Amino acid sequence: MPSTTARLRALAPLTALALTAGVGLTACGSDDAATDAAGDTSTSSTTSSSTEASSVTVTDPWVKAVDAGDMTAMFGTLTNDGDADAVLVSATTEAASMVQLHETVETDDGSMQMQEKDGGFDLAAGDGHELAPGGDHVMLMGVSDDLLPGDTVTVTLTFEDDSTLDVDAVVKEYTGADEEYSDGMDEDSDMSGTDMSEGSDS
Amino acid sequence: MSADHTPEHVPDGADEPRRARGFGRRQLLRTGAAALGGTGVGWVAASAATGATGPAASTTATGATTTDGSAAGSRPEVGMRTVAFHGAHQAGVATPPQAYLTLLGLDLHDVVDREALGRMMRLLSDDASRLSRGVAALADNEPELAERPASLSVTFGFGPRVVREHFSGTSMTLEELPAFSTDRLEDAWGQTDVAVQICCDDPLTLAHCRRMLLKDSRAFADVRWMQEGYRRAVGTEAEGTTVRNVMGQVDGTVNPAETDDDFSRLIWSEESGFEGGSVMIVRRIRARMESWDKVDRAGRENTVGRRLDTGAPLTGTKEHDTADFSATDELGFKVIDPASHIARATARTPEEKFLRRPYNYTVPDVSRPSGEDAGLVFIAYAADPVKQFVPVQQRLAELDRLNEWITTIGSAVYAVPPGAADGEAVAQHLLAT
Amino acid sequence: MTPAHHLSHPARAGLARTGAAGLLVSLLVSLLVSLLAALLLTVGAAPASAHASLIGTDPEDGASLDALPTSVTFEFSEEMSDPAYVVVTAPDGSEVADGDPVVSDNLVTQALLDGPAGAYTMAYRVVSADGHPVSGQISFTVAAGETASPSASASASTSASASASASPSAPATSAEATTDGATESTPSTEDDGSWLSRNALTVGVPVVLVLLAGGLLLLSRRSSS
Repeated sequence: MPSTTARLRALAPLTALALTAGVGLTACGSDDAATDAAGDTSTSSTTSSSTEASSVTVTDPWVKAVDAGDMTAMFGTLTNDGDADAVLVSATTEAASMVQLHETVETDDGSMQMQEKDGGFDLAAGDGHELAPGGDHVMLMGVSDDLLPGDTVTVTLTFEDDSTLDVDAVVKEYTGADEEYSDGMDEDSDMSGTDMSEGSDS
Repeated sequence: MSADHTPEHVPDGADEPRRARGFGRRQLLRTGAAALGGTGVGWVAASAATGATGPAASTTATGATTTDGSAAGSRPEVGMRTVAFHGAHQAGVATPPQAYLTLLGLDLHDVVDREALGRMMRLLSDDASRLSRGVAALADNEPELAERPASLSVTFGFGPRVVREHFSGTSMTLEELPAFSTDRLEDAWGQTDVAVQICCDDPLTLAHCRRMLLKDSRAFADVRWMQEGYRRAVGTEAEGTTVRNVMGQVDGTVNPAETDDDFSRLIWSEESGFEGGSVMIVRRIRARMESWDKVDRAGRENTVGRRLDTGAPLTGTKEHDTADFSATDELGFKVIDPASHIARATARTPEEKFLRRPYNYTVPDVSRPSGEDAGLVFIAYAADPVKQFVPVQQRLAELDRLNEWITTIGSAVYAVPPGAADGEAVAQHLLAT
Repeated sequence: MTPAHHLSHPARAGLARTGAAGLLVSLLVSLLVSLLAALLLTVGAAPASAHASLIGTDPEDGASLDALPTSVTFEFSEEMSDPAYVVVTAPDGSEVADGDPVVSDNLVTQALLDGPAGAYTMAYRVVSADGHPVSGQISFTVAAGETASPSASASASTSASASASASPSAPATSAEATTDGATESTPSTEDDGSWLSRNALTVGVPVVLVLLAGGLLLLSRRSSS
């Protein structure tokens, strides 16, 4: 989609939503949100419209490319368009043996460390919640097959009311976010890349 | 306005662009510039904006850039111009040339098959689609650099090997360009598997886009070359002014205009699977500026066949006057030297026309007395280069006074698939598994 | 400010050492040098040194020939680039150039067909190696009744028409041709003298001046030491 007008932009405190949201957006941004190139956004609710899953959308979901056996994460923006609060409590995918909801915290020595988020991610009505490298994310551990750039991984999100939402996330190479992984997690070289090392290879 | 955007650039089934276009047309009428006609979204509004500046005069990118919360009136007009990525044709072909160019020559890794190429094109198309709208790419580490699309366009082309080995469902055949006698080709600028033409009116936006595309292509391909080029910065000259090359000449006067009856036939392919696509011809032409410096104005004008100041043919007074190659002087000699560049390059059949979209290049080269290597990244588009481009280049290789000062050091040709529909990737239908 | 003062010292010291007599000599020298420079500039403006120019032709401009040659040649002051263009016009207005001219370094040669007696013009348009176009023309005459004799019938028919129109007016045509000889640059058409004899003044005067200046410089050195 090429553009919207200046007037439209001024209209839209919801621009973040308008970005690329796949479904259900009304108002000004909906056309923009329709579709991007392949693999961008695809969400579908598996339950009836009154559920938490039906009021949550995920825009720009993506997963970092890794080899089989490694761990990776899904990122994107969760948005709760409903009138009631929602809580994302767990996630699953056929692409990985274990999936956890993670937050990133600063440790005493100043380094960033990931750890499982107790109670899941709270999504207050009308709010957005960003999953991003260096922040909260959906951790995929024990990846079964190589996740190749350009592939699509389907991750099923489960909410507090047991409703679920399938998210098709595009796989992208990514070498940012050099967080440490807390004890017990396998730390592979891909994950330890720094922004500076990334700069040298493009 | 030699080659405007077609309305087909507006994606099908998208209401918002239609609104924008309608708005642009109203602006156009208001400013009395309706004669421009046939332009696409961003450019219509841009043309209009030159006459009626104001908050609403500029077609902007989507409201996606949430950080841009400034009042509409303070939004820089050039930076917010957009060129539609999706549509019947790829952007960057009939699009009026932007100020800056990077042309990437990529070689696919040996293991990349059509399925992998399809994945690459999904990623790159998505990046291009977003960045063209002024929206950060997925996993963009510098999202702020995406906020000023500045007419960014990204055009994908595929070399003969890819067309042969990976594309299906198309009658498009593509042969490498023949060797021309005056060529002094360097491998470093040779044929690659993929070409990505990135054009933008802002060099920083362009650099960011280039970086995103390189990051997302490196799992599939290596960069063989990167050709950077420039024209006039926006606002330096009236839009539509024919560009000058580094040798000082007005270059590209006889380009077919999108409004010409034969433009579609000449530029857009009709091969099955490639309808609305084209073929990109890339020639890197080095100019020997040191010896060109020794040529006086009479010599330069005779060499090219045009006046330096106006770009008019030596038989005319205005740039777009038709050259009279039969006119003679008082001694009986042709006014336009039959060996001059325009006498040799001019189309001798209706087929011998193509769309020139050249950029100047200048790169440091301390081994030269001038300290730089300069010339032209000659990019041209034709539906069939064998019929349209090769005969002309053959003639120039045989004889062209300009050959004394120019040498082609790179040569390549790429099939340019049609534009991708919304939500689709370029070449998706050719790579379906 | 200080650096400027420092810089001025050596100059003043030099003047002091030279002395009054030396000063006079240096003044004379600089005067001569100025004169020399002015003269050289004048010479430089002459056509011969601007761009490539015509330095000779065969046949020569204004020549009277017994027969039309089989080819004509233009000689230029520097190398010419291919292609060059030549038009040789017979007294009856017909074009007698046979094919395209051949460019070899600084020579451009044009083969000719047969032609009638009378006044001919041969025009050239060439491009020098530095891209500069040069054009002009010269003229010559072919005497009546003695045209080259490759074919008797041809020469008979052509000489008939030639004697009627061209022969009487031959001198006039020739003069006219030399006056409007050049369009873009004046061809320095060759006469009998050598290059040196024709340029005795422009070459000789500067040479003498240079010698004179050199001598005076030597004198000034001696007087100041």
